[in-house]
Amino acid sequence: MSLPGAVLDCSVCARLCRDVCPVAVHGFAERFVPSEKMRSAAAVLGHPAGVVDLDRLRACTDCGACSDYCLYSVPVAPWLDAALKIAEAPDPTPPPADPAAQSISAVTDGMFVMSTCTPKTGPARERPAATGPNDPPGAPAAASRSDDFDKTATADVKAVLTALGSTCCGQRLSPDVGGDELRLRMGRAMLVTVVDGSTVCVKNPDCAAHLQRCAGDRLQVRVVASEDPP
Amino acid sequence: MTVSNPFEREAASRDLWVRNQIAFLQGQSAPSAADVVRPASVAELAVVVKEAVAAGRPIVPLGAGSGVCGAIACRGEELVIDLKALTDIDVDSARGIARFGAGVMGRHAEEACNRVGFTIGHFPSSIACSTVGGWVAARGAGQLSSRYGKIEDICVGATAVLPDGSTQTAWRGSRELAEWIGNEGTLALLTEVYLRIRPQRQGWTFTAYMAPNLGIALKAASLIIRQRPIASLLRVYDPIDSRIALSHSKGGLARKLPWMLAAPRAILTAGDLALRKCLVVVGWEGEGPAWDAARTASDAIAGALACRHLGSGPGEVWLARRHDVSFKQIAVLRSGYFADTFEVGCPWTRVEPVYNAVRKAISPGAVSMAHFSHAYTDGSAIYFSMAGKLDAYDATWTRALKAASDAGATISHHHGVGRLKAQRMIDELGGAHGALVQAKAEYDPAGLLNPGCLGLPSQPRTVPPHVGFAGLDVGNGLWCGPLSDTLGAIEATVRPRGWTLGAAANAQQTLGAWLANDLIDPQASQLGNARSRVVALEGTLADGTPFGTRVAPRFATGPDLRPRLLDGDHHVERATLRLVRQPQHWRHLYGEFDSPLDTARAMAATGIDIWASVVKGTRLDIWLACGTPGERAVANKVDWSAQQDESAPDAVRGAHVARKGRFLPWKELAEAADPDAIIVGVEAAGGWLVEGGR
Repeated sequence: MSLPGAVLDCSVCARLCRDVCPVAVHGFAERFVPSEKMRSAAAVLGHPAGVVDLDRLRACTDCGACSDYCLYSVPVAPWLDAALKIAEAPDPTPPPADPAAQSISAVTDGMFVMSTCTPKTGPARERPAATGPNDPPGAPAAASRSDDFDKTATADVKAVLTALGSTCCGQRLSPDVGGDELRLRMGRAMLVTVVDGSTVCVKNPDCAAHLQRCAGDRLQVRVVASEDPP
Repeated sequence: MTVSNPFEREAASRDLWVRNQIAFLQGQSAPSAADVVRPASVAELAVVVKEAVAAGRPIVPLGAGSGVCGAIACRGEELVIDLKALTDIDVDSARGIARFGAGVMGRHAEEACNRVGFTIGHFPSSIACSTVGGWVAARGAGQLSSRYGKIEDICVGATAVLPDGSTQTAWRGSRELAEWIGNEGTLALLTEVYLRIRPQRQGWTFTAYMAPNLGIALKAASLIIRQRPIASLLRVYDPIDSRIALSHSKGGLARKLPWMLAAPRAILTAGDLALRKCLVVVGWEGEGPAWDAARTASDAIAGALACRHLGSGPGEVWLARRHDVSFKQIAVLRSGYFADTFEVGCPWTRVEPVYNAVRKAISPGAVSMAHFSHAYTDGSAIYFSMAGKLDAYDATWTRALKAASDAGATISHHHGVGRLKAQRMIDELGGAHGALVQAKAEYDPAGLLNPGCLGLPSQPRTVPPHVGFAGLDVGNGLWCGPLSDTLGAIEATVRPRGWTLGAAANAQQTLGAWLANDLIDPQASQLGNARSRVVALEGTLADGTPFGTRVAPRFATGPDLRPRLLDGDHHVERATLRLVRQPQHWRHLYGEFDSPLDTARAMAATGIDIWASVVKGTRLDIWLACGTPGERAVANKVDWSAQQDESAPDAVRGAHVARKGRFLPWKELAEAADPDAIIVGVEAAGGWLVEGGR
């Protein structure tokens, strides 16, 4: 079974979207550049050269900036989501059918353009609904962002959000409304475990450093091996 | 901070060399570095470098990894030093200079300048995925290099960490900066760069033509680029690329690649017979009478060469799609072919022969097309796009590089060398390879900085020198001759043909003394120091090896070795020099001021091109060239309340002679200059403090 075209396309792309990805920009890490994340997705989906690195698949805020920037609007976040679900499933699901297999080897205007993608010429477009030829099977039409912060967040979580200004890397932080523990999400990524109103634990040291810079002395950020508090 | 994550090592151990991409698609994994570190400060970086060198660990510096020549590559034992945490930005618009940490992403740097109404003027296609440090380390170029120059023209200073862990700052005109720019991490690690910034201009003025054939298109381009005000954008497309470029504005061209690759040589022959017309696109940043005058002059040149006027449409299309090309490589790669680009530089009269030679060399295994997108008064870059079968990738590159070199072009104009072109570096340097080896031995005797890149470390290799011509080369705006010639004799040779070296102030001085002392001429101070006019040198190295460096308008083949060749124990016999068109009319602005340096700085900050300037005591003299209608329109816009006339620089205050100068940015200049100092060559970022002035 062939690999999804969009995933491979991103894997060898020139990384022009790297400086709109908040995780790549603020985390600095090379593996969090969207194309590197997609290499990991490719590995999960069976490509022999990529590495299965679940951190890369999780390091996505679902903001859609890379897709907005992409000439072909490749839906990176849904593909990472799909790959993550496959990788974390107890009984791994076979790779999905290639939704863009028909798109390759086409040569059109100018030089070489995928036939099923419409080159973008103007300013960034609205993020397309996840029903296009490059979308993974079952992808949601758009990422939903939690707006019920006031209803669900505890005092500790509210204190942390206040310290951080409710945003990080330009993306809104929201409480993990379904969890038992006090956690914060940034987009789809689980970034912060709240110990109390003034202390949080973060697994990624780059994110920790950035959070600390954002919060200053209003918040103590600890780096831990896992997101669970010590 | 050590990044121990093995996945980060995997991602940080390569760049965008197409060979890597092909290997990935074929299921092959590249070797990773042993460790990755991401220093958070220059001090931390210095410690890391010192400890690594002491431990004998190879070091590979990493920016954003967007290079396409394999400058980032590992074999398993290296320490990758990721510089992206060095993100300080300090834009000083009042002084026309900006300081950036080496890890600042290109677009963020440009946006920081834009916020105060300024621009770096450096717009590589990779601006969104490359760092400022990477621009300088690889000697890159932006799309508007005709006006702003390449990064070596924009970069006026840098700070670097040397292999011994020391930190050093160097300014324009120094041997150190010349050798750091383009060193690709083999001599020193850049930590901060100081870039000249200019006020942003609003709007564009475009024009375009269809030339009957490539030769006429190139002729038109070579004449248009010598007009003033200089065009920001000048692109010539070969016949195939012209069809493609125009198809953009019409909405698309048919798909062709699979059958083209079935018989690439036949396609080359048939294409040359069937397609002849070439598109020329010219653009000036700005709108108004000055740019209309420039466009009118350009139209007249093209019209005299039987080019058909196409209006502004192709230029506007280019502006809208200027960053699209990098995306388009992907589908070709994934469909089982390679797609890659190859950029060379050569004098105008060599452009068409190099183009033909390289395309012919490529044609057995790949199809190609080209555009000519970085134009200078003395030559142009040629940017080849090639696509072929995967198994022909290495052979195609080998043939292309050899053909370009044999036909008289430098093997890189702005992509750099990396490991892809390393084997050609010895031939490229035309016998001066020993000077590169000498530089490596001085900076990095253990050979630990980016080993393999630029073909270093290496033993000196001897190859035949590139031999220059003799006298005035009108077609390329160059002069070549022995260092024993006097500057007056050179000017007497070139002035009757409308050119100048800009060195008339010291007519009795020999070219050798002028270059040895690196003098700056107050009568043409915009042209910078003497050595900035050198295109190529011929002579013998200290060990007796004859050398002759490549004649090319710009290059991206490692450090600039010309200061080393002129300063060291080597013996230079002949030099090829870049000329400029001699303006025939002037607007001379002068007066006495309480703070003439501030007045000069304010003038430079307007972004206007100043031909010559002298600050001495309280007196300021500025000359604006008014040789063309466009120049006159620009000069007339300058608001000047003090005295003015139309005298030429050499008719006033003739006592000024060329002297040795030291370039300093404005802040340092103000601190270093005493009331009797002479300062010449003021520009947006600073000026030259004349040694022994008074």
